This record gives sequence, structure tokens and C-alpha cells, in this order.
Amino acid sequence: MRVRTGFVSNSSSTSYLILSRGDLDEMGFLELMGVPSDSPIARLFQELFQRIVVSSQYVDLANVAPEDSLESWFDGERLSPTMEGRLREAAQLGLKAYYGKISSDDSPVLSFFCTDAFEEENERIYFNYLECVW
Amino acid sequence: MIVPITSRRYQGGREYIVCPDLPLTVDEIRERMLNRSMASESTYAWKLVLSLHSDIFVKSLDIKKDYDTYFTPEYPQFAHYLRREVGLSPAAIGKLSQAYASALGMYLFDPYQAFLLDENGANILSKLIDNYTPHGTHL
Repeated sequence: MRVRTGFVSNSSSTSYLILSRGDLDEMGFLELMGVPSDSPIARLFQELFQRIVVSSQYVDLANVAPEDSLESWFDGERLSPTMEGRLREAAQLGLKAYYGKISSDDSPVLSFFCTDAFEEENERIYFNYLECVW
Repeated sequence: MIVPITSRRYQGGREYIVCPDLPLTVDEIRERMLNRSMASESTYAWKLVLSLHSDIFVKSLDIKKDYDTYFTPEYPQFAHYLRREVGLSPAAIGKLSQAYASALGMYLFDPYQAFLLDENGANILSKLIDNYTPHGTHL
């Protein structure tokens, strides 16, 4: 019999959807999350933003055909009803959409965000971070 | 003062003993943390800081108070309590013994926030809580 000792954990991931008026940038993202770039906790949100930049499927909703299925905009990804509703509204306004997944395995900061679920919105950006999968 | 200690629950983990100085109160520390974070009210960052404050100063055991309330007859010296009941290293005991008189409390904080478990964790806590301005000048 082999015995393995040590720390055991499950990984998780969270699907997100960001809808933005204009291109998504770090300053706008930090403003949405509520901190300036010189805050002691800004690094958390900067790291999340950097991951979003490299992980997202991007769709300019001004260029999609309204009759297409939502899944076809994001390579067949299954979207939550809330995300679908927001996307339909965003398509009418011609917003930009960013969809992707964050994994808890990537870094301590991203691991922390995978333990949380939230929805944030201001005049420029909508951020849905509610779809957690363990 | 923030004293990082090795987790007593699992290998490679990290806990903290958070020791704000008197005469600040727990409520004043909450305001300090919100001000230092520069978080806008009601945003995600604001709620994160409030949650962190609560996890440390409301939900964590204040070992200074624990000692004063329950353990002084058993351990005439605080250092003996820290060694026997909390299981701290000599280095941590030295720091805490020195800070005992001036500390509001000594909160034994076992964070669930993964971003506090690496080298930057103590730095973040120190910038939010310790008795310095963000530029390093004593208040």
C-alpha cells in the first residue's frame, strides 16, 4: 500500500462575462472594483485584470447578427440565464463583450477570486463573476 | 505590528498575529483600513476591506485578552502562555512580549484569503493596519 501525505485540495474555476462601453482598460477596471492604482490592494485587481486580458474571448457586439445564437458568439460556451439576458441587451447597444474562465490553480490571488462570487456594475462596465464551478 | 507565523494546522501555511497599538479602537482601525485602501464606498474593494477587518478584529481570537482573562493564574508570564498555549516560536514570543504593554490586542488571524498566504500578505496587512502612513512616516 502506498501512502501519500500532504495538502489536498480541489481546484475550481469561475466563468465571467464583462460588457464594456468601449475597450476594457486597467484604469476602468480598477475604478469598477473600487480602488486607484496606488492602493495597497490594487495588485489584486491588477492581477485579475491581466488574467482577464489574456483569457477572454472577445466579441464586439456591434458586429454580430442578432438572429445568431448566443453560444455561437463564444465558441459554444454555455452561458447562464443572467449572462444571456445581459448579452441580449448589450447587443442592442453595440457594447464589447469579454467572456472567459479564471482557474484557482493559477495564483494565490486568482485562487482567492475563485472562492468569491459577485456582480459589479458602473456606467461603463458590467462584470458578472457569479458562475463558479468546483 | 504584524507577526507572520507558521500555520499550526497545515504544512506550508501561514497565519498572522495582528497587533495594533493603543489607543486606537477596533472601530478606528476599520476607518484606517478603509482610508488606507482608498476604496470607494460600496464597491467590491470596500466590502473586501470590511470583510478583512471583521475576520481579524471580530472573528479572530485576541490572545492578549485571552491571556489576561483566563490564563494569568496559570502562567505568570505572557511568554509562557504563548509558548505552551499558542505554540509560538521564540522569535515570535520575543516580539509579542515586547509589544504586550502597548498593544490594543493580539489577534490570531488564520486567513482564508489566499492572497495573504504568500510573501506579500504581511505587506498588505501592514500597509492597511500598522501605525505608519503609506509613505512610511510614523503617525
